[in-house]
Amino acid sequence: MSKTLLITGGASGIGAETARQAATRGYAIALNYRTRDTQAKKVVADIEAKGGKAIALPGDMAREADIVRLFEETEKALGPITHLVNSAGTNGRRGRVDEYDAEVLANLFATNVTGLMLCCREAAKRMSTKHGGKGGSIVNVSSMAATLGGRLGSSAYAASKGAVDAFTKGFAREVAAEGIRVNSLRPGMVLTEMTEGRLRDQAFRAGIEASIPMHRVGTSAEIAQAVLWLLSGESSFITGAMLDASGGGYMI
Amino acid sequence: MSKTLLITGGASGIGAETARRAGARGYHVAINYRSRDAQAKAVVADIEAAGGRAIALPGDMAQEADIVRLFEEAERALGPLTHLVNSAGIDPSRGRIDEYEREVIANLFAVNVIGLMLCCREATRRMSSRHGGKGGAIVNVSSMAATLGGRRGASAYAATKGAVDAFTKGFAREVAAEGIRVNAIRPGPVMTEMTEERLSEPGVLAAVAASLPIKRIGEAHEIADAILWLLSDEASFITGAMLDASGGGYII
Repeated sequence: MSKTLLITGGASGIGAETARQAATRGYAIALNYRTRDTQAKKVVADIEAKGGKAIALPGDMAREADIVRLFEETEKALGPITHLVNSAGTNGRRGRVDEYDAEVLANLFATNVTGLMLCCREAAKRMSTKHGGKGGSIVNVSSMAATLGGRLGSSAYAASKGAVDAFTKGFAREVAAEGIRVNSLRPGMVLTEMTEGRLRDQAFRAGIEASIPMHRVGTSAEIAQAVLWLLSGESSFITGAMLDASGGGYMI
Repeated sequence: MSKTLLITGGASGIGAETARRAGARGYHVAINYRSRDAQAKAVVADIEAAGGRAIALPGDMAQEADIVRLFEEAERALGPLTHLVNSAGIDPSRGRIDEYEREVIANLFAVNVIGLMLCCREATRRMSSRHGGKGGAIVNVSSMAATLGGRRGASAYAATKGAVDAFTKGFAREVAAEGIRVNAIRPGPVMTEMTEERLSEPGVLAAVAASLPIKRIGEAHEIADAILWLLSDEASFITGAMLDASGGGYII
């Protein structure tokens, strides 16, 4: 059976690395991006150069119309979607609660939570045996921030990931008997475009590394391997699970 | 580098299936068993027939002297241990709390918790870079019972697995910077020698399957695949994680 994987936020970081690794494992890939047009096309070119199949599709995961169109265009180009990775996410603006800006919060939740849920809706409509689909597998990229509320100034981001985890558990139960597996992956600190600005500060990075039991940050490749394993048939009895990929969590 | 895996409780169920699959993936396997002598030797014979290398070693994981000897004998026969799966576990007579017998509970904790912790001690003394070791990976077989307290009458069993999870998290942090990864897998209901008697009672299998979102119980090989993935280098940033392999947990 041919495997078609849609990755939201696939132009950078964990999404891009997942796309590259997935292609070498025989998936045809639709790679969604919002603004990183050149980067998305570079990932596609890299995959094609190795004999894989991939397309890049623009779309803002905070907008329902873009999401609906993304799924339609993916299927038109690559056929039925069998796998989905919800990797699109934004960090919002860091800050204490007394500094919150309503619009920033709304946008954070629109992308990280509502957009992800609508992507799952579109996937369920296509994958569920209840709708004539052949099943599928979904991984939602959450964060270790969901477990303890995040580092200082990240409570809002943590809240959005907490919502992702709770949604994943409920959604997984809902569609488990309809052939769809759904799991969350919770990366700890990983070097990506989303985090590299902060991690460039050497003192900050040293502090982060000291706070991780493994004493290092993770790589996108390590997270992508976990995403792909959860997507694969080897995890056939695993659904509704939250997998921490965090170097041991936090020193306490 | 040659990979040497010790599996406690390796003669049956999840342990035996993990041994067979590990043998096929190039691990040298030491299979511990307590009473299932013929079964342990059958697993060894299967692995050898497939071109792998394995030995069977008797030992009661409730006895410290047996545990210490097991590690010595495994190393003498196969060389330095690089991987450990703590699969030995018991699920004795079920009952409400008002029926508890002190000795039954003591033995339950001796095998499921203290024995497992002593196996981790022996592994750490050999794997930790602090002791001149080259690192390693450990998987503790917990249970979904740890998450919600288990099904009726299983509170004591659930308590032992809750202890395994908490120990795994703390232990993982302690040795994360010494090259050892430690994770727990939490299987839901799986047909094994430990569960088959209960699952064979009239109506029980159907009722258990109906309580699982995926509407079926798991198979030992599905758990073994997850264990072997956690042991592998693909899980290099994953330590201190609890991975539910449960078909979605419980319908609520």
